[in-house]
Amino acid sequence: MNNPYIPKLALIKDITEESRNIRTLTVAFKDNTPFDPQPGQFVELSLFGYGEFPVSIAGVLDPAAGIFQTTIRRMGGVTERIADLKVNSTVGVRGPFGKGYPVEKLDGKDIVLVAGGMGIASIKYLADCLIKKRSKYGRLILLYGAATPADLIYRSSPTLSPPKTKEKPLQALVTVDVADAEWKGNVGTVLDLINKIEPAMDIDVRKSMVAACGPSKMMKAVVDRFTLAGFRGEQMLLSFERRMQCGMGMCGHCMMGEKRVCLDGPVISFEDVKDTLEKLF
Amino acid sequence: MQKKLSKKDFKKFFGALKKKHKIFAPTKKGTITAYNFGTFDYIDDVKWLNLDRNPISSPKKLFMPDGEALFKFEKIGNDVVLEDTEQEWKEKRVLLGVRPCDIAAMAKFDKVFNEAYDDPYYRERRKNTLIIGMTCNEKTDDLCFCSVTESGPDSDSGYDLLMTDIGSNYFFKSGSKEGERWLEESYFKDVSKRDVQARDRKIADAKTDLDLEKNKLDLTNIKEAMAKAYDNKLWDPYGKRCVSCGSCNMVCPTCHCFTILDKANVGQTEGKRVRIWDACHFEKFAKMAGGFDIRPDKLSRLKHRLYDKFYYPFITYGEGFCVGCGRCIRHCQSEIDIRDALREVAHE
Repeated sequence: MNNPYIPKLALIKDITEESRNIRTLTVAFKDNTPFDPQPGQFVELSLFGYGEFPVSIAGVLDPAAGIFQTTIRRMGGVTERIADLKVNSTVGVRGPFGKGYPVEKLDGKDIVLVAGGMGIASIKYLADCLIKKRSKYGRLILLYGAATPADLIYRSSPTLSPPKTKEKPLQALVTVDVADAEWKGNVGTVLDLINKIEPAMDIDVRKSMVAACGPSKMMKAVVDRFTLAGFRGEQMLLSFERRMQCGMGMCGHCMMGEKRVCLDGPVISFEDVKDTLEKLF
Repeated sequence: MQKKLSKKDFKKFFGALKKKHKIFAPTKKGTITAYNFGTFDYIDDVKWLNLDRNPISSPKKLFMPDGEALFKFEKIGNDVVLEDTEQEWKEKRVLLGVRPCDIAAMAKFDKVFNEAYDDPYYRERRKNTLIIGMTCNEKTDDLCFCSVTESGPDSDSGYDLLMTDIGSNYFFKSGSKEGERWLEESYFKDVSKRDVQARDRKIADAKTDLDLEKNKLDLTNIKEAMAKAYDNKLWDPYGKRCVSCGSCNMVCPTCHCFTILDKANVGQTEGKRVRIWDACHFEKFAKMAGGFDIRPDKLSRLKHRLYDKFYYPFITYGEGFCVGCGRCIRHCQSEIDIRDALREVAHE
């Protein structure tokens, strides 16, 4: 029987230590089920004996063989246990769930991707997808902020750091809230980054889109700032973080007004949530 | 099909039901507590049946049991073996004596658990349960307001059989083929015009009494009124009185929120994944790993529950989610009467 509550078993194929408390897992379904989620969708990852938690899909390595990546920060509760995982450990996966970034709406557009902290996971997968069909889009700009240089992840990812010889498919700008002695880059929030570079970005508001994923403070700042810059609600694609437990619109945990982030999102345009009675951020 | 059953013959019917189904009904269990309400529970003898009052809790626990196992797991080396719990849902049951408000609530649950995804645990339990409803001849107490939410004292769908106490007999209506088959049993007798009139009179009397509530509370335009009232100060006193105990969520027949977690042995080598009832009134219900909480205070949580009865479901399911059973008022330790709040909203 097709039971959406029973996870499919999967193996950890590889583990990348992204920072002191963040790991990227490469996961492969044991039965090699094809897996081709949209960027922005999420899965419920099971660590049997501890529980399951919702997490963004950070990349798909082989859709035909069902091999994908997910990046997890230890934040207490079940996620604390990702430290125990080893290559060849068995995990469970339910999903993919929800609506991802509407990639078809990005055709021909200049696209600003904004990521804060762990929000980079879903944004990176979106960037992967956009770069695959690079000629369909205008400029691609990524603004990425983390707390400290040690919290910046995916530093070796080809999407974020393309080989020097190639023409850059994506213009990445990185900032940290607090620098360390070796940090020579930007210091401040992604909002500071926007303010700093906006004149130079030379963005045509009419043919641009923003996709953002990050902490709620950042999301609010992004919406305010891009509204000020003349972006309309439907041009701002927001990926919401909530505690989706069932992923299927039943458990009630991810409600935001009448919206259920697991079904209506996680990616929802600002236009579709701006009149929600409850606070968004 | 309409038939009647002499109260003297009720035992025969009960006995026949028992042979085919496990019977769940309002019981006398718990009636000596301060609340003086029974519970929906398994009974195997008609002497435990308590059709006088609607129980303290709704029958939702029959379809979404608190703590039900979703599956079992066993970890062997690096491998994990999963075992489903399908056998547990297959039991043939009958829910006897369920009231119109709770029947209406089940129809709402059906929408939640079969919307974007089909929940097999709920679906199978529902499919395997015969519903024998019972109309109300009188209010349980002044907290009943099913007439206002149009979910009582009579039912027009959602049951296999529907009984009405008309004195020395129960009047039975069928609502399904399976219900009809039961009415063909010899102890069910044909109804006379008088019996039909007796039923109509019972319902009309109950309705007249319940309709008095309608003079005090009008929910006709509640959706529009709620849309405007979210930031109104009228909610503040209710938020202050609420203690976030979650009783209203637990007893509500349409509150369906749950949390999924693993219950394992020491060492986490085997266990089961369960879903337990959760409450949007609870402090950490909407809190996220990073600490952000969309509803950090009692007021926003209280509003959320009421908006999830009288506003959001209109958008999602095209109907309100309150059935007027009165349980949340009856069991609120802060004596919050949601009808007071709704009256204020409607007046604004």
